[in-house]
Amino acid sequence: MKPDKANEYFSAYFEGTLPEGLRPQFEELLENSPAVADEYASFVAGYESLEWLGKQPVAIPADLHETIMRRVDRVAHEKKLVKKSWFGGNLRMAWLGGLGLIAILATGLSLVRPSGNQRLAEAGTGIGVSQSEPAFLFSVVDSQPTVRIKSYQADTISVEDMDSGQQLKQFKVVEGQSVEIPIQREGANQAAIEVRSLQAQKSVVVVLPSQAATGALSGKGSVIQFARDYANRVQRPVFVEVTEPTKMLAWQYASQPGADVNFEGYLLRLEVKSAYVRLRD
Amino acid sequence: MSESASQDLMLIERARSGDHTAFNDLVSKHEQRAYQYAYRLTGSVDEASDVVADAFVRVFNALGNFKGQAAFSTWLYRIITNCYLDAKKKERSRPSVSLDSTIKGDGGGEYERQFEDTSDGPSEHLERSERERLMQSALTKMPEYQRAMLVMYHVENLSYEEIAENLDLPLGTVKSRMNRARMALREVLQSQLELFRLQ
Repeated sequence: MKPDKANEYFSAYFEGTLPEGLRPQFEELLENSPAVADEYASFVAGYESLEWLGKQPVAIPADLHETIMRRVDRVAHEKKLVKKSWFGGNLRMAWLGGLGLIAILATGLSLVRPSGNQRLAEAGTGIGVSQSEPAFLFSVVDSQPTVRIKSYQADTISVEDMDSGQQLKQFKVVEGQSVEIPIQREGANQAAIEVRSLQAQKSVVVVLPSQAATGALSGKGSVIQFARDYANRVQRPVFVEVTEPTKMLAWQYASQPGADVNFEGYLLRLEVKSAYVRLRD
Repeated sequence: MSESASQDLMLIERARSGDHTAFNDLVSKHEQRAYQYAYRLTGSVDEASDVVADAFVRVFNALGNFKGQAAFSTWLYRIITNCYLDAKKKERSRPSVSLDSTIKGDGGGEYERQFEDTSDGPSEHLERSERERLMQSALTKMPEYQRAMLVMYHVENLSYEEIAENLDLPLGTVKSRMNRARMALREVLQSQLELFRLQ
């Protein structure tokens, strides 16, 4: 066996599958050639590092299932549309044509009316409307709530403690980059941490529970107050993404300590996951 | 056939007949492992999510073609690998920048280009060990095909036979290419191996 060909047998030797006929030759080379021995040692180190990497857990994005199913649903929907009959298809075309005509007329009218223009401009500033707005993603990795922000423009992200009003951190984000912000607090007290995009003026709030669970079956207060109550109830962080977090509402738990809640004054959506809760409009 | 494989077949059969909940269940069952594989291939949270979502769309479109001769997971791995290789092909056809490239600053000086790499900048707070970061970084410097083989074998614990089936290659070819891939990884890791030995 030539020393320069020895590396072809590294995997087989390490995995114990090198044919018996080749094994003694290979071992002799390992013993007598420091260069081959060194190369083999670094090969083994690389191999073992790969094995080690395989054992490291990978954090799964909280919205992975939604991302997949959203894309699948879109394809399923498109398939259904294609399957529609020729007659149905043409009816749809006529309908869309009519809508298009109305849209053209409306656009024409809006161009001659200044108030119409203003309304169109404002439509893009709502949460989740403009593509330039940052996307907020949540996850809990090793019990650590994390907010991940993907920014489509240069932005500054501010992290504030809502109770003290103190700014905890500030990050600059380059266009197209993501930043991950672990949400932490001092001690075990309840905390409401606001993560705000200063450029887009969009924010989310993460409410961390205290150890004292709440027992009341109903309550009144702002959306954030409800989030605090609920975080304590289920002992999980609550990610709040609503347009009006200060809006007042009343809530009533349907069961103790169940997740069902009846709201009055503001209809909220609760998504209860195993590691956290999402509260949305 | 294992219980898990027959459960997959049942879900696929129901999904084929239009039961959307069955497909949803199939996704739930496999998405985590699929993501883990995609993440080790891409080294990026966003790219991995994209690859996995694309793969499940392909699965959805090709449900009728699944004959059940191989396990669903084997089929899924093959699809994820193809999605990943296709994404890389597309990426190559677009203008791109080297990972090692620098950019000129206003004052004429050079500074490192910033990438969407969760190990950079503020995300250094992430609890990811330096060793894992180095390994992942080394993997992402490998040619895509070699990377896919290494991840399938070492991270996903697929056998050589399963990899051969996934990549449609003879077993001997897989073994020799795998050895070459490990040697190539060794080259990439050369500068970091001392660090690994110390740990």
